[in-house]
Amino acid sequence: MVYRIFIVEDHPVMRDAYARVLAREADLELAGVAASAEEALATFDGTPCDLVVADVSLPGMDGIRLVERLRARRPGLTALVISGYEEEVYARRAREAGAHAFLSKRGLERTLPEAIREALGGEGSGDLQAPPA
Amino acid sequence: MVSAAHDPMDPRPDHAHPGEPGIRHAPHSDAEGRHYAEAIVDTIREALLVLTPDLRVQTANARFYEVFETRPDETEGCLVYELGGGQWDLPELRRLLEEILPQDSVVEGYEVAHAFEGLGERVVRLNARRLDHLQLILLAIEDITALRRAERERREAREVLGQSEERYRLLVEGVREYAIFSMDPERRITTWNSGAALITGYAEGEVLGRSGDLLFTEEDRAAGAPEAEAATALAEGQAADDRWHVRKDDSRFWASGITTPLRAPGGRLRGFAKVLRDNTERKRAEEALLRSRDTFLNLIQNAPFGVYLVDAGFRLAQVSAGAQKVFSTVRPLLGRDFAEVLRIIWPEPFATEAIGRFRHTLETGESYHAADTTERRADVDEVESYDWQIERVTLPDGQFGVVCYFYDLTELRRAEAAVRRLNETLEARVAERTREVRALAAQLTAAEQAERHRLAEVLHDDLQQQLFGLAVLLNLLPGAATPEEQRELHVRATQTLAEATTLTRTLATELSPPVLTSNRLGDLLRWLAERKRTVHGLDVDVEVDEPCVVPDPDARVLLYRVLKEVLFNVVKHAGTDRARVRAWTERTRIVVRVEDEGAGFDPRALDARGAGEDSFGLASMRERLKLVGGHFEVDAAPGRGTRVIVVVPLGAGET
Repeated sequence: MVYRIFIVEDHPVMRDAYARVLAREADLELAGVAASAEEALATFDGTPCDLVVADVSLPGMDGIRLVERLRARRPGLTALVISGYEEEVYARRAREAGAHAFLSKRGLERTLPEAIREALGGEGSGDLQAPPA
Repeated sequence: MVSAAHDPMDPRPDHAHPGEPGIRHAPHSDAEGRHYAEAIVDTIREALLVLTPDLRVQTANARFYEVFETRPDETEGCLVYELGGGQWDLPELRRLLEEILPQDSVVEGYEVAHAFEGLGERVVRLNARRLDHLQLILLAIEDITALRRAERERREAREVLGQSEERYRLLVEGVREYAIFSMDPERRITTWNSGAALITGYAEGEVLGRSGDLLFTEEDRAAGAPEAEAATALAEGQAADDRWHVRKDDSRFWASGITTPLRAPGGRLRGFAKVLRDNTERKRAEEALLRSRDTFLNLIQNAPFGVYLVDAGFRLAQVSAGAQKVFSTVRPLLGRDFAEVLRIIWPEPFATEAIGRFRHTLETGESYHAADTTERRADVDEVESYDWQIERVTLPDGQFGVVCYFYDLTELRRAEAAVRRLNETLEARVAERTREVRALAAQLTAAEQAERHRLAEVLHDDLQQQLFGLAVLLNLLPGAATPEEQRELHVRATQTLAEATTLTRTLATELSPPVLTSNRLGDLLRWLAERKRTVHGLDVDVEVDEPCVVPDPDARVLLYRVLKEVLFNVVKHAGTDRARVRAWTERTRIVVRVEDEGAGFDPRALDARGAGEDSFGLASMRERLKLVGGHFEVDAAPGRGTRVIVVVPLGAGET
C-alpha cells in the first residue's frame, strides 16, 4: 500500500528535499506540492492524498492555521506540522489544530517517513479516506 | 569944588564922596549938623550913644533904647557909667573911653563881655570915635552875643568834628575786614586802610598815587570795568562792585563792595571812596553750594529711577527725567498742587491714600515704602506697577519737603508675565518635543524590531531552509542507489551550499556595509548606486565634489540609511529607472541632493507615510536628521519629479 503525501512548503530547497526523501520510500508517494497555504487550499480538493505535511512558516497563512482549515474541510485528515523552530509552543498549537505530530526539520530524512507511517498506521488511520484502489 | 551932588538932604554919607567919612563934611551950622547927626544916628541899626567929652550921654538912638530897654529921660545927661543903674560902669569901658580913645580918635571892635542885669551875659562890641570938632564922642554898641555864641559853637563843633574825624580815621584805619580807600577823580589812590593792605597785600606806601585799577583783573580792565564802575557811581550815586579782584601776589579774591563819588560842598568831584569786602570764602562756599545743588539736581535728574520732590506747600517742585513719563499727562507740572496731580493720574481710593501718605511723611518725617503697588491709571489705559518710597528731606530753601524715589516695575511685571507665558509655551513645546522624541524612539524601536524580525525571517525562512535542505541532501548521499544519483545529490548539495554562502554574505553586508568604514562619501554613494542597480535595477548617476569627507561613523550610517531610503522611494514610487545623486561640502555641513524625473508626489503625503515597509520611513528619517541638527527637504509635485536635499552637519555624530 502506498500512502499519498501532500507537501506544503515555501522554500524550493526544502520542497526538493521532501521529494527526495519520499522517493526513497517505496510505500510513500508525493501526491502534490503547494508553496503556500493559499495554494494548498486551492489545490487540495483536486489532489487525492492520505496525509498533509505542512511547514509552520509560510508566507501569509501559517501551516498550523492551514491544517485547521483543511481538517475543517476534510474531518479526520491526518496532518503533520513540520518546522525549523523546535519550540514547544508550536507543538502544542499544532496538536490543538488537530495535527497528528509536530516534527523538526532537523534529520527529517529519517523522522518524516517514520512519522508518516506511524500517523497513518496508528489511531487516526480509521478516519482516513479510503485510498483509491 | 562943591558939586550938585552935595545935597544936604542926602543922608548917605558916602554918596557924594566915596571913600571919605561923610560925617566930616557936616552941614554948616551946629544946629543943622546936630539935627543931621541925630537923623543919621536914629537910622543906624546899632545902638549908638552920643557922648559929650565929659562922657555924659547927650543923646541915644532908637536902637539903644530898644536894645537896653530904657528911656531918654533915664539916659540923656547921665554919665555913661551910670547907665542901666551903673551896669555900664565897666573897667573895660572906662579904659576905652578914658585911656584909649583920648589917644586914638577911632577905636573899633573893642569887645566887652558883661552879665547885664535882666539881659544876661552879653558880649558887646564897641566902636568909638572922637568927633573933636563937635566936641562929641560917638559910641556904637553892637550886641554880638549871638555872633560870638555862634562862633563859639562853630569852634566847638569844629573841635568835636576834628575829634570825630580823627576817630573816624582811626576807625577806618582799624577796620581790617574791609578794604576802604579813596581815589581822586582820576582814580589814583589817595588813602588806604589797613584792611585794604591786609586784603590786597599792598602796603599803603606802595599804592598811594597809583591807579585803583590795579585791583581789577586784566580781563576786567580790558573790558573797561573800572571806567564803567566810576561812571555808574557818578551817574547813580554809587556802583556795586562784585567781581574777582587781583591781589599783589596775582592771586584773586572775590570782593563785594561799593564805590561812591566824593564831592566837595559845592558839588565838585573830589574823587571816589571804595569799600570792599573779601568774600572769596563766601563766594567759594556759594559756588560749592551751587555745585552741590547742581550735583544734587543732576543726581535727581539723571537717576536711573524716578525721583521727584514735593515742597512744604505740597507742590511738585522737581521731577527727574526718569520720573517724567509718569506725569506725562499732567501739564503744567512743576509747581502744581501735588494732591491735584495724584488725582489726575490715579483713581480712587488709591489717589487719596497716596496723598495721605505724602502728607503724613511731610508732617511727621516718617518714611514710607511700598514694594509693589499695581494700579490701573486714571488718565491712560494702562496698569502700572511701582516700588516707591517716600522720605522727608530738607530742601535748599530750608523747609521740609518729601522726596519720592520709585522704580517702574511695569516692564518687569510685563516681562515676568511674558516669561511665564514663554515658560508655558516652552513647557508645551518640550512636552510636544518629548512626545515626538518618544514617538520617534518608539518608531526606531519598532523599526529595529522590524529589522531584526526581517533578519530573523531571512535567517529562518531562507538560510535555515537551505541548511536543512543541505543536511537532507548530505544525509541522503550515502544511501544513493546509483553513482548517478550520488553525483546528482552532490551537485545539488554544492549548489545549495553556495546559495547559503551568498545569502550569509548579503545578510552581513546589509547589516553593516563594509563601505561604511570609508569616510569618503563618494565611496558610500557609488556602493549604494551599485546596490540599487543590481538589486533594484535603478541607474543612479553619482557626482561628488571632492573632498567630501564624513569623519563621524554615526553620521555616515545616518546618511547611508537616509539615502538608501530615499533611493528606495525612487524605486517604489517614482516609476523611473534613473536617478541622480550629487554631494558636496558646504562649510561645516554635507549636502546631498537626490533627483529623479519620475512621477513625483505630494510632499504632504510624506508625513502620512510612516515607518514600515522594510525599514525607516522618510518621516522618521527627517526626525533623526533633526535630532543631529540636520534637515531634509523634499521638493516634489505630481508629474514633475522629485528633488530631495539631505543636510547633515559635520559635527552631527558628536551631538
